Amino acid sequence: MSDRNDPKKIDLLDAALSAYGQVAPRPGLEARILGRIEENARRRRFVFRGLVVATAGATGLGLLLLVISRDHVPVHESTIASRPKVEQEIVPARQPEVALAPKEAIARIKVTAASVVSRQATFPAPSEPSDQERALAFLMQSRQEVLVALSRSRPPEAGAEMDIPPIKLDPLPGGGFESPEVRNQ
Amino acid sequence: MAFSTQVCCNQEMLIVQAAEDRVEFLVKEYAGFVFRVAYSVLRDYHDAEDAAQETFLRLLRHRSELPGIREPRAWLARIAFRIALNKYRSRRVESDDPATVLAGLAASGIPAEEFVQRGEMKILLERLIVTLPADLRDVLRLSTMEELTSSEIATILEIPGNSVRTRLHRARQLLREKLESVLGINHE
Repeated sequence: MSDRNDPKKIDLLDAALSAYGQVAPRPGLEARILGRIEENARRRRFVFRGLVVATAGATGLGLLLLVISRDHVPVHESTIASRPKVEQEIVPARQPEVALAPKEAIARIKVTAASVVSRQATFPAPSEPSDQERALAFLMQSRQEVLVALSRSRPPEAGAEMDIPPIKLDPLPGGGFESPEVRNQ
Repeated sequence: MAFSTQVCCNQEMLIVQAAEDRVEFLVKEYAGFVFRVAYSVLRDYHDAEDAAQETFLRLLRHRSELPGIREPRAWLARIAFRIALNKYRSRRVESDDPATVLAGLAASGIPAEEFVQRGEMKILLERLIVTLPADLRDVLRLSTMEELTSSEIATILEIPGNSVRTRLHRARQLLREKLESVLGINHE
């Protein structure tokens, strides 16, 4: 420590630090840096193009899978309860059919059956008719036929005009029972 | 619409091209300087060149900010210094125990003047600088680059200019003491 201010030692430190800081890069440093920058830019362009191609491919594959999956939709039993309501119909309270005239009853059945059929015949149909709907349509059709048959076989109402042809009876051989018309004559 | 898109793309390409030209100019102008800043920290040619390349790649990534950089030299020096410092911290540090260094020098019995003449003085100095506190070490390393002024060192380290001068004085003083101690042992 006694020779702290010795110019020789101070010069030694400065000389050492000066030599310490002197350094030169190897020749061609700029070219190597520019080359690496160019390589980096090329790699980034390659990655970008790869990403574009991969994205396009993934989109196409997704669309293809979507189309295929739509062709193979699994058919499952659907019920009215499980399906979403397309439109809500207000059904009036059912009147006793006995009070209705046969013509009115037939007209009502026709309307009900037509509504069921029209829902089935709607195109594009909201969905396939369920088993319950098919059974209902079948029941309506068969009920319609039964009621038509019943109305034909039902006796006419009192007071209605009837066109009944007169009964013609041939006289019995040997003088038997005579019809009232013959007797009146 | 197509015309405006074309014009927009052309303008963008021109901007990119201008930025690349600017980066190329900066590489040609400051590659050596950036290398020396990195070398002052790393003391290894290969690592310093890697750090210099990384510095310019980072510059390329921030090319949109290039027009706003008023002092590219100081900006590049700061980035290079940070990259070099990160590399320096991440790599395995050799045994920097001052006692080991001093004992090795004492055992060698080589006179101080001969140390300076031979290339081993650099190794000795590096080993002594490593033993300095980090804040003093950084200032001293950058100051050994004669092309860096005190204000530029202050910009790189993001400290006031007065702090640079104070730290540099303290660093030189400490280093001188260590060097004298080493050379005193050798003279015995």
